Amino acid sequence: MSALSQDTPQHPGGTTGAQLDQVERSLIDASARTPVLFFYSTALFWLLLQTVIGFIVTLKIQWPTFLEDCSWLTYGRLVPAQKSIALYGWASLAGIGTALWILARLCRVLLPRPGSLVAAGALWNVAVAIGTVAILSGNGRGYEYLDFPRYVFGLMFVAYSVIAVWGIVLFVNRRPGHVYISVWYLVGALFWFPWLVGGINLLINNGTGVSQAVAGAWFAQNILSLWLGALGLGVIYYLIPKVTGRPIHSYNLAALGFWTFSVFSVWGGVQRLIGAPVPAWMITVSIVSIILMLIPVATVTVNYYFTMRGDFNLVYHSPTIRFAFFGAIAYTLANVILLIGSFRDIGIATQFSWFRAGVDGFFLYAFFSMVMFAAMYYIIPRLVGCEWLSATFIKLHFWGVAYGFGFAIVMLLMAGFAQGSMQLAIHQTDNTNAIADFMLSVNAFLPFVRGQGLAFIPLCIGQLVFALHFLLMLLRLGRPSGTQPTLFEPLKEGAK
Amino acid sequence: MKPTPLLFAGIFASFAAAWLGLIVASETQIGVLQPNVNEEEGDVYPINVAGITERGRQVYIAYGCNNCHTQFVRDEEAAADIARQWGTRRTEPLDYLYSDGAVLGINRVGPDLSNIGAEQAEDSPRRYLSDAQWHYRHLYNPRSVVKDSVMPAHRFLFHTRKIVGQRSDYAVNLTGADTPRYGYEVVPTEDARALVAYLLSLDRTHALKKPDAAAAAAAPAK
Repeated sequence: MSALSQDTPQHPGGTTGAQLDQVERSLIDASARTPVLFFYSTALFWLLLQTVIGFIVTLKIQWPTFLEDCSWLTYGRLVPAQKSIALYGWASLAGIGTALWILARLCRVLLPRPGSLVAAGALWNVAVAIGTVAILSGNGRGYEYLDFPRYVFGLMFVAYSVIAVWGIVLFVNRRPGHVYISVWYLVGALFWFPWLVGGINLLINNGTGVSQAVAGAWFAQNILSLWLGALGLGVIYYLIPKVTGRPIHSYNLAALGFWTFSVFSVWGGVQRLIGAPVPAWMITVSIVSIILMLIPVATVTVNYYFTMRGDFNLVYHSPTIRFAFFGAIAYTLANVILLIGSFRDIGIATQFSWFRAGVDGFFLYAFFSMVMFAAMYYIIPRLVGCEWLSATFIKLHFWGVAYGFGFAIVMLLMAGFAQGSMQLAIHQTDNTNAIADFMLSVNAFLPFVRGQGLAFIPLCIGQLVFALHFLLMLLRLGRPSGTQPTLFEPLKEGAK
Repeated sequence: MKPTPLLFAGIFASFAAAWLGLIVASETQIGVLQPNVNEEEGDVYPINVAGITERGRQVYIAYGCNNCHTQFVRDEEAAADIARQWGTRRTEPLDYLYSDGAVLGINRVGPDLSNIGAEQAEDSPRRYLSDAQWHYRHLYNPRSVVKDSVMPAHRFLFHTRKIVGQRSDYAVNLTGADTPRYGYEVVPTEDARALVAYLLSLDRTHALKKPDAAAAAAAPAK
């Protein structure tokens, strides 16, 4: 836990500062290797599992009779299981792993006791596994992203405490001086997460009817926009300057973005209940906060843009930048679409439809997952000591997930629009048969939801290729390090 | 400058403000609701009914019904919920006093169920909804009663057994391909009976005392 300078062997004379930095970085990477790779590999396992479940769910919409005789695999259980796995299995584990590595690098402190982090990660995985079995066996709680039973969150909390304590230790022992903006976001995320999850568990257990629903909706929004939002933005703020080799364009803008983000983001969420019997002021507050979120969204967008300016050609070369760039644009778009769907007149149609799944997917997949892939492409070579084997694999992965996520999300948004607007009015003048009129809305969304199923073809290809590539890296079967990092196209001299 | 305490204070305060102002405030506003009591008629609404309907609600949540079915009726001016005969008035927080927030639902893939158990007039085309047998048949094979339904069948909520002595009162009257072999019957499990009892208990058409309803809906923004 001591600051690195004391651990760094002092080379007698002739050692330049740059070389010392190099040694320090590799010591930090060595301390982070086991836990971060452990978090990443288990996260990838959950990512693949949730893709499979998502595929089964899509088949079930197409053919409701598919696997219908097994209560464990009924639609109403697979959907919450998939959401919880995607959030707690994939996104949170990948996010925590990345956050720990970046914090260690930026604070320039060795990760203390990596073994305890592996144990915490293992406990977290056990919790996710138990929670999944609980949902599938009918012990879910019915709240989005909160379906795991309470005791599962208890286990997760124990695991998380260890992680958070080491996060704080890293921060407290950091090298004196300027605290980089990524650290703000990551420390914020690490602090907000337990309050978000712990506090809401208390409220949902002790609340009354509609106030539970309010708490649930607020949680579902903030676990995406606050927890994943802060992690993702912090990681992008790290990756873009690192790869482009330029400092953040405006530090004041970054600070403004962070504070407006942390103040406004938290008031959102209740707009998910537009139309439901909720006191009107709560919905209004959330809509206002989502409008105000445009300020931080605009500041980070502008800041990324100007930091990248002149280096946009890196999108064609660097895998990390391409994924991070995709994620950054997705973040901006996701917030704009969230806003459009939150206006009362539109929300009355789009809430309680597939539209919500589309917006959530925008945050979880198009933004956060892409940023995590970017981070993995950057971090893993530094941990295993070799470079990614094949640029073609990375290309396949990128186009697979970019088309897959993008197509699925667009289809879900359109399905929601079609479904919600059909449900706003009665279409048959002869209204004796209410079922036939309702079926019009079902038939309106079905083509889009079926179309969404096609997205699983590129998604599966992309993710399987990435999983294979990751496995090769774990086995140290990459290109030797010391050479140039694996790029889509070699950089021309002087192009940068 | 020492930015660290400031950073922590800001991270803490921004979250705490929203937590208290939005989430705890909602509980303090909704948690204090009291049932409507009409002393002249000796009528109380809503009533906290436990027992089999409570169990049924747990079954409803355990099978994730709320992923496709909501339980709230939107205002007449906003949407066609009332025209669809999903209810006679918009629902209010008071209607959920003894319910679980999860039943409000996530997506309207299927129709709203707020008032699925409400009394239907003799000549109503929705009269079948008051019939437990219809619900059993629907759960057993949705497409046997609603053509083109995308709902999954819940056959695991039933078991087929040999008729011993008399046919069970609960035995489901199935037709077509679903008809059990001669001498056998399909009976709902305890869970299915609880679920159907819960569905038939869903009735939020009771008139609300106006002042309370208005107060809950338009409480002063703090």
